[in-house]
Amino acid sequence: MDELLDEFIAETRETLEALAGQLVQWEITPQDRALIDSVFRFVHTVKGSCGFLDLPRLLRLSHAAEDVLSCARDGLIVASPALVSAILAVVDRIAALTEALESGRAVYDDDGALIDTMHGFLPTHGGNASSSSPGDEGAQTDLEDDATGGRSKARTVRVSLSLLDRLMNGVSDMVLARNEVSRQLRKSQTGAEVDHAFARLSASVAEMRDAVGLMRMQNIDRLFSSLPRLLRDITLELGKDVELRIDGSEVEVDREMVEALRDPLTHILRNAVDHGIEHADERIAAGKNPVGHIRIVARQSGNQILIEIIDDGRGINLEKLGTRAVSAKIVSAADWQKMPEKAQLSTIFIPGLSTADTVTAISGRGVGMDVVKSNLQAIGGTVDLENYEGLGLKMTLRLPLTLSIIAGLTIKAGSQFFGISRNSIVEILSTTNKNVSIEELGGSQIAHIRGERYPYAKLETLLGIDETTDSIATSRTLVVIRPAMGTTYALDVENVIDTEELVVKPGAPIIMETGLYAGTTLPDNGRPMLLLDASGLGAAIGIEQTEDNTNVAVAESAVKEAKRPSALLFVATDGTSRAVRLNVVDRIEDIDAAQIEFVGGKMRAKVGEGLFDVCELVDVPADGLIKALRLTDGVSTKYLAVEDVLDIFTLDEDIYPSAHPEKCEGVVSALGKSVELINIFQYFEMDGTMSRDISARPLCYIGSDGDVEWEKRILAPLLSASGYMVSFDAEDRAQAAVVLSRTNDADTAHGDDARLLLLRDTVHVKPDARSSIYRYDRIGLLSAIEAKLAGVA
Amino acid sequence: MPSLFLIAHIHGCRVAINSDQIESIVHVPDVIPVPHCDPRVAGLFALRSRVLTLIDSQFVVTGERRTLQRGCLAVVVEIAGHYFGLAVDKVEDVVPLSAEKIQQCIQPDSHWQSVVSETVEVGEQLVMILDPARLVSREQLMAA
Repeated sequence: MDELLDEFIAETRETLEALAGQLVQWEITPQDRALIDSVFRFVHTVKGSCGFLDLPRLLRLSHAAEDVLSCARDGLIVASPALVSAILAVVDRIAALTEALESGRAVYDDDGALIDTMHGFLPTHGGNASSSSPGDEGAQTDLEDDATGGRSKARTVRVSLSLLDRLMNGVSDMVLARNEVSRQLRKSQTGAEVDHAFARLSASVAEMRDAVGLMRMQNIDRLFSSLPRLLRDITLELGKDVELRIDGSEVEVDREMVEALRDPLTHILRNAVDHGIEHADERIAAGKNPVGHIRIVARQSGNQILIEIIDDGRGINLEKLGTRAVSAKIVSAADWQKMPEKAQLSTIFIPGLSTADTVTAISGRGVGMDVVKSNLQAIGGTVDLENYEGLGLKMTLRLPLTLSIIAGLTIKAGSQFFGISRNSIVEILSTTNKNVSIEELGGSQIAHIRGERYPYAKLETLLGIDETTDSIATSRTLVVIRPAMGTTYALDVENVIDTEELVVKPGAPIIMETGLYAGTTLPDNGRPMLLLDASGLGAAIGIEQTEDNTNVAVAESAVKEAKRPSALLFVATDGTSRAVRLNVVDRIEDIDAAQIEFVGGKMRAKVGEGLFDVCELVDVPADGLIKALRLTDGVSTKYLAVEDVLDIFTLDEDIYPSAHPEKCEGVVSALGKSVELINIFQYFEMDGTMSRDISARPLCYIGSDGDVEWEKRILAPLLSASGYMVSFDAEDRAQAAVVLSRTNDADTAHGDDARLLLLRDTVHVKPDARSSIYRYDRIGLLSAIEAKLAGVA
Repeated sequence: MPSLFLIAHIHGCRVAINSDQIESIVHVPDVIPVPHCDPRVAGLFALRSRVLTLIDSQFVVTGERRTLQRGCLAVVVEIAGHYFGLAVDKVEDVVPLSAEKIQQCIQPDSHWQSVVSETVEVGEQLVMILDPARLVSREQLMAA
């Protein structure tokens, strides 16, 4: 009997988790038969089991819910929020009672009220339908339901986690024992028969180890399935309307990770709804969709699991956070000003700091964020914030793939062996390779591999261990590593030994604190090995921890940051001082004059393996070095020859528009002098691979009245770089393929023009405005132009 | 009700460790150092298929590192889900000690205070009760 009861408790609990999400889904789509059916089936199963196990309270509750659900299934009543709430209340009570069964505690009995509410929904309230005795009819529907319902559950067995651990350890021991036997066999020179048998044993042990490894893995959906229900409860309480989207439920994580993540994720979601998402009226006022959106995305990236929680709420108000932080005496006002934005943001993880005006029952941001962070740290994870004030907040949880098996590489440094995940490794080279050289730059070293330069570090130096003396004479190995976050770097190790499957075991917190290790592993030789953390090593080298991101929100912040860009002041080859935006300058290089030739109608320099254009260089001196700026637009690279490089300054003053926007962006004041800020689009525009046939280039007319500074400075270079001709001349309007204009009254007169594309200054769409494109939405703008061209043709 | 305590020696001092926390006592196989880590960590060692962290108990109380080699004695304890080996000079015996005998009035010197909060009388001698969790906890890190 006890066994049956345990089974019942475990099964009920498991189904409950899956069910909560479905109930909420059902509220949204009340017509969905499949959802009603599954809810009905659950209640029905509980009822059936209760009758059998003699649990009268659960029986009465489930019977009442079943009656209502059965009517809903037959279409007699329609699912309403009230109905779903009532059913959820019953489901909750069932959950509470089930827990109580296990713990032996008592639950206050007001089931009568719940049952009455249930009956209130029945169409024939007080009639015969609801008064049928629960007992007799249970057996009937039982048969009917099991026959028709056809539960399509995968066949599973419940196993306790400790048993699984024992199994896992047992298999690992077996592998070690196998290795020992293998060593002994080699010594004792046995015959082929024994070898053959051993090979078979060995293969099946390996297979078993793989299978056991998989047993620990679990769909992250188990974690996510409870979130819709949670969200529903919070939104109802706060009177907010929020839509939740979950992606990546199929990602597999370690079973224990699911449990460890439950609390932090719940907390983050609560915070997002309570403090992030605004009330509907506030959202409308801000020009947002009145319904808030929260997206949760899980994905695996190398040896990390990333979980992103993105809301489109108000974000974190840094000013407010600063005031709180200062008043809570966490930082001084002066220090706050000096802190970079990232550091300011991370103060929300300091206990006792909140930007919420009122601390509600649900959350007070700050009261729990420290818990979130420490919970994550306990399992070797980190949390990152990306704040878009007024637009939303993106939280990224990074978790290690502990206890899973990774494809690893064993490397040797000093007298020690280390493991590293093979996913993050780009290539492995010997230092004697001709394409590899180590350069010195301002005290730090840089690896130069086939024309690419990477930050470089010796593993021994990073870890502070002694190099083995004999390795200096022989060649060493460079491992080029691209971590999940941060840029690619080259790691110098003594030797790469082997590649093998490594079972990742979590390291003790005291070891993980170093940030250098991803965990430990026990290879087949039985000597433990430390696993290196690719991102952590990068951080130790001093690489900025950024990740490439392409979404609109990031573009937004890029625009914000672009408000105070820097520029490089240089003396051009014609002797005048000019400036160039710093963000397009990769670095400054001295090119040997012998490497520069006038070929194919252009000055070209041979640098490393590649041939690059050299702009603004009229003739090449016989020898010596040519100073050049290496410019890049992210795709192609060019050199701009200069006489000398003077200084870097901030473009914080106005840029005066130039008469030739295609040659120079405008005139800026640099260190007391007025200089031209060159437009680098002119160099890349001429790039053969990028530009199109000039005669075929569609003409874009930019409608201008009054202030065209933005159009000339930003729009025109963008369009010409994308292969369009640009004109500001009103006479060209007639023959233009596309007419662009920023929203204003003058253009509404030409509103019927099919070629017209309207640009707007804000991200938000005004409710009454005609279709238009946000002017910094580069992708949107270019695709709209393409669409117009296609329409016209 | 008396509970069982293991009497072990760390840096020549007798300490008592509650046997509830102890999984086993082992001779450590090869020790793999962990570079760039907290000096309390002497290294890693394998125990059957598990990887354990070896704690240099002597460093915690004296501030002097000790080279721990293959064959040294370690008390295996589980702390917050992770297994640690606490290096000890030698172990004596397991003795039942009743709770009344545990007292907090006599405090050891500052080094020991970070890991000991109670003492107990064993036979004629006063013995410190070692709290293994405090050997590896974060607070200890701050102090060090």
